[in-house]
Amino acid sequence: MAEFLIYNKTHWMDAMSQAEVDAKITVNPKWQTKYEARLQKGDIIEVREDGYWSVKRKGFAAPTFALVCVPGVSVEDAKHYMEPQETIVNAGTKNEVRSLLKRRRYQVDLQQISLSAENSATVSRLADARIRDKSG
Amino acid sequence: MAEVVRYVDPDATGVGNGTSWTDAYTSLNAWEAAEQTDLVSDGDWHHVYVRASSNSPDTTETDINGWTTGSSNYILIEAASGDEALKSGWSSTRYRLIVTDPGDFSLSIKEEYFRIKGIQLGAVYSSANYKAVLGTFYLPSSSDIRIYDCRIQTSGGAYKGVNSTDADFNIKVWNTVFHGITDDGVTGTFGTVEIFNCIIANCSDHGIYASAGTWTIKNTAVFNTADDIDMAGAGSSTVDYCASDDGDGTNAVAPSGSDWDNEFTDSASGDFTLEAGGNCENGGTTDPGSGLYDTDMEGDDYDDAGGWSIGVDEISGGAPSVSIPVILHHLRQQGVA
Repeated sequence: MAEFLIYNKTHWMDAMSQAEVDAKITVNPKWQTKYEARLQKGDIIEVREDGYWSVKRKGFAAPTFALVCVPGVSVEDAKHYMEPQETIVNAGTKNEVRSLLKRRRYQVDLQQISLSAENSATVSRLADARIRDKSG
Repeated sequence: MAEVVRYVDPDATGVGNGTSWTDAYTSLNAWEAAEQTDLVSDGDWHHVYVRASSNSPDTTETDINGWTTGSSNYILIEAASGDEALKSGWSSTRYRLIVTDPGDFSLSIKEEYFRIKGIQLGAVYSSANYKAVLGTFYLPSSSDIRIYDCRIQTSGGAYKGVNSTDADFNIKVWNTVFHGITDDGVTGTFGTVEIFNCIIANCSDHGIYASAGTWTIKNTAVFNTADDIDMAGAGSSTVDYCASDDGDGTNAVAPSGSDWDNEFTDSASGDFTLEAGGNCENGGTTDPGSGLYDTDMEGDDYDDAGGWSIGVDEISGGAPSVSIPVILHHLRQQGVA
């Protein structure tokens, strides 16, 4: 089983009005990249082995994070869900350059998961975790 | 200006919200995601302490991105007392952020005002080459990034220590050991890089390599590398009072008897405790950072009277020993010899 730590709050940048965002970008055009890459509710922040948060610890900073446990999935098979979404030039070479698009590429649709009062859920299959690939 | 204090401990077993050692976040990555805020509008600065209470490493790649920071509203990550990086070697019982095959960096800095004090940072090769322990590919605007009293190493593959790849990457590094780096120790294609009182040794490629940018390197020992200090591509550079095998820069210092064991206790295994009587003791220039710091990696005062030593260590207590090479060095400084 793997345990997925999920971002479960509204990012502070989401509270900004469009006018405030536009003003920031006018002052510093590069800020747009940071804004667009911000964490979003449902982003997979960390993947750990069975029991890491649910058994060995008293909590996982709920409600800032939610916890989704998926039996039958190893951390090795699931850790790629922590990857960012980015473009890569000269991949695997000494001149590799990465440009960040989103802090996390994968997102759990928390609207489709029944979280407990403690903000956790156990689903029987990875498909039931409702993981979405933002890159399409 | 309020200080916001948080805690990270991979061995913590509490509720994980970072408000105490008991309830510490269990990774720097979880802390970063949970605590992102606009520090400028909040009127705060953010101070996170890290430790490994039962020796577990922090193994999750961490990206500092999604805050607003300012010159007084910076983020400081600091090792807790007893978990500070050591001049004498890498410790597997102290806090360390060490990531296997990071996507780009073990610690990626994308906020402008950011500091790290006393942390062990590393990267381990498994299958992906050409990564780095610390750096950035993106900063929104001109930055003030400070790395001090740290220890950086890599294992396997071709991994750099620090990689400056953004024009806004203005970084100051002091009292930091780079040892056993499997590519360049510190490298950069952009930005402003200042390196003072560091050790950069046993690197598979360059110790320090600039293909562009503005570089200042003082009181730093760079040796046992493929090429110690290569500033050929830098927009401008100052290399002064540095010790190396290659005699790089002005006021260059060589190891006494051509043997680094006369300068540091056991450089091959990573112990950079300063040896008395070598050419690095009191061999540097005084206050190279113009007031940026005045103590060594473990908090001992640098020797203003005798001249600061090269490397991360100052011999504290007692009268300083003075060797003939040191006397000649100071006479040269004064234009006498």
